[in-house]
Amino acid sequence: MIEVQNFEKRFGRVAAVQNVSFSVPPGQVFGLLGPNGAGKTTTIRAMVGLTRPSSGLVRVAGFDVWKEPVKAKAAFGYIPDRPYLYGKLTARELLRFIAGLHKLKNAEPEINRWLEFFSLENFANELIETFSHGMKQKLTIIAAMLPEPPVLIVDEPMVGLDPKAAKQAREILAGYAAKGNTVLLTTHSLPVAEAVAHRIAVLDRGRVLAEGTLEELQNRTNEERSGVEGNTLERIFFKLVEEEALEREREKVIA
Amino acid sequence: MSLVSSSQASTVRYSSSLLGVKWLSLKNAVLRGNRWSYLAVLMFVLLVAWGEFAGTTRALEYVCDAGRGFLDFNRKCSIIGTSIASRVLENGLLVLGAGVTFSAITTAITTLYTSDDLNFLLAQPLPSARVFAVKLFDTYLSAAGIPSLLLVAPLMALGVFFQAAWWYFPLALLAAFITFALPVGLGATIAIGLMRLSPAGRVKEVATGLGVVMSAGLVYVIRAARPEDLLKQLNNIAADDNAIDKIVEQFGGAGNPFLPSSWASTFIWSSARGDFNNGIIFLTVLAILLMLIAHWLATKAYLEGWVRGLESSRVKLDPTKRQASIFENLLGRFGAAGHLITKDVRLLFRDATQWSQLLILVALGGVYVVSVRAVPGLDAGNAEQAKLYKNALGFLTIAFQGFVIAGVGVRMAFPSISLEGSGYWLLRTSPLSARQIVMAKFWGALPPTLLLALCLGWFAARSLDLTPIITAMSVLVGFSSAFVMTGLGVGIGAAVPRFKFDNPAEVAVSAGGLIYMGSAIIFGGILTVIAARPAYVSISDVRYSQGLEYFGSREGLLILGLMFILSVLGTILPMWFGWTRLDKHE
Repeated sequence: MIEVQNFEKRFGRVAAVQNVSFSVPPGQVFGLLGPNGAGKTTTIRAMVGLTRPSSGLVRVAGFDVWKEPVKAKAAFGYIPDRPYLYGKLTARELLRFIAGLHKLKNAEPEINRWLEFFSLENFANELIETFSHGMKQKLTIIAAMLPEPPVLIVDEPMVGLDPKAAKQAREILAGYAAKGNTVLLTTHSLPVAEAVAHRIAVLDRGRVLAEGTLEELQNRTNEERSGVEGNTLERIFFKLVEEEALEREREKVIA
Repeated sequence: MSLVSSSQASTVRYSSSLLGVKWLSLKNAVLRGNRWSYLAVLMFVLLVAWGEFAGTTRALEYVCDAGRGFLDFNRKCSIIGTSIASRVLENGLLVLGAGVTFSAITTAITTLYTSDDLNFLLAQPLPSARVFAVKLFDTYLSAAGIPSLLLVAPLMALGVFFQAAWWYFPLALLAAFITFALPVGLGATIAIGLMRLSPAGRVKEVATGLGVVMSAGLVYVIRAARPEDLLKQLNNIAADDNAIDKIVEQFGGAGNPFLPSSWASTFIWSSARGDFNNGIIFLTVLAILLMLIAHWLATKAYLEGWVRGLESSRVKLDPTKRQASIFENLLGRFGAAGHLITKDVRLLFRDATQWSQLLILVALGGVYVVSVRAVPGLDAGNAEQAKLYKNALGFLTIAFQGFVIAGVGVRMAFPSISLEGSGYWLLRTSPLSARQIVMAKFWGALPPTLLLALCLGWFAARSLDLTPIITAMSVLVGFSSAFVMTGLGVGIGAAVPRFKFDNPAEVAVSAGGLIYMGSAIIFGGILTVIAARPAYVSISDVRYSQGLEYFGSREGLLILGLMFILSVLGTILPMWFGWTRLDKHE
């Protein structure tokens, strides 16, 4: 369960995110979409304890991320867009380290299973600094999922993944929510969002332009399903963003 | 055509202002940062400078007052005071210079070969020698910036105390800066050679390791060879058991004639009293020579070495399902802190820029002990005079001990949080509190620092055959310094972490590093002041000259209690401050 209520983040006088509210119940994948600089990553960073909200509330699994950080952090796994990991550790050592921080008992079989799942078993004893970007991204996904947290927060999961791994990642996210867990992801890949997200919020300039299921967004924008994967959401997305741009222009003219 | 010319012109302007780009980055960082924080840092730096200035002046007044009957030629200071003060200056420059020498090669390798901006700079149409020059300047700032800044106030105090001529002030600063520039130039030269010759694939690791071993060996050999003994034999100086002037002659003379730190201190000391000395000329000539060699090498080998450094090693895949080591399982019993320490130890021993810090630590300890043993005049004079002199020197080593430990702390404890770098998100989003992170870093950095501190305290006391009370104080000060300076380092490092850096060496020379060094020196000064009373009692009161009974007295217990309270507060408060600030860090 994720709850974001009236979340605002200001950097000095600049409001990066304003009055954002949404909630994600267990069993759902929630997609957070928006152009560059919309405030997606800022919102995610607030959820995982990397940015303190200027106002509002961010709860994960019932815990306020800034009041009960350790309990909240034990309840989510985080996959960032840039997989910075300890280059001088091997993949297996890193995963054991993660298991230790989360106090997981007998984690070795799970570590081996995940490494094999992502075809990393032959590289498990190599230093991470020798890994490609995609291999590091796979390892980051394993690190987030190893403790089997009830909430998964994912920022741009497909960056650097090969087609096979990207398909695996999509299936993992959908499957993870199907088990009753909560998944929130941001992505620029609209086909991915359309394929896996139960509900979608479109952010622009720090504000939520629209939120709902694909059908609800279709109704709101009067767009019809195109039949081509990703195309419907793409049209909805551009329509929302363009409407917002026109609205701003109108406000400027009136002012 | 005009477009091409304009582009060429802008390239020329850009290439001629690489330092200008650095300056612009610094200016932007300062202007866009929190001005109150910068003001606080500035105030702190001024406070430390004032403390150094006042402390140096007071120390000079104190030592110059000793042996009043024998004033030196300008009647400002006693002969024995002059001798002690000049020796302290020389030893200070030697210890600081040794520290710079040890870190210069590793720093040079990181700035010259592994900085993030090198890919950009060396891909530009610029002569590699120009990039090298900028990076050499970076190396100087990283390896010698803090020692140089710390010397400014004491050197000014020396000049003011002796009412030196105007030319003393710029030349004394020049001498100090060149003294530290020499090891930096040497470090860069060795780094270029090592990067060019080491096997491809492991260039950085091998070069860093060899570099540290070589520089440690170099300084250690120079100290262990005790050139002053050689000179003494050559001159056939015979120690006269009863003549104080012989002690002064030996103690006050050029102690280490082959070391640049000795030339610098002789020059500084002489010119403070209006006497120009050739030491500055030797220093300048050597510095120019070294820069010319480094520049020549840079044009010949810098670019090739950098390219070799980029070549990766061949990966031998090992598909075995390796189990956790005994060490990992053992530390894992301590929970998250144990896992963090395991991870840090692994990173320490696999990253040449980190494990070399341990060698620096061992070598610094070695130089310190050898330097203490090598002080001339220890075996001269009658037994009482020698004992008095040894114990006075022993007390001074307590002050230096804190300084050496602070120097180690700024390289080990202080950057421990910042070294998480871009990977800090992993800890921040794990179920760990900031307190757990800070405490784990503290327990990880404490053992080596404590071992070094206790060794320094014990060996210095043994070498000088100090009274039991000064020996105990030396060890206690080591113990206290290790805890406080580790806590202080980790705490301040956590309060003002710097997760973004071109190379790890930059962390130590940040504003936080300055605050740490200043705080550590202040604490070292407080400990020295506290230790002064027992030291004085053990020398002046025959009842306490042979045992430790003093610590059973009310005064002794009070001093022990004070040290204990200061140590506990000095360790815990900075860490509390650190984890509170780290918790709020975004």
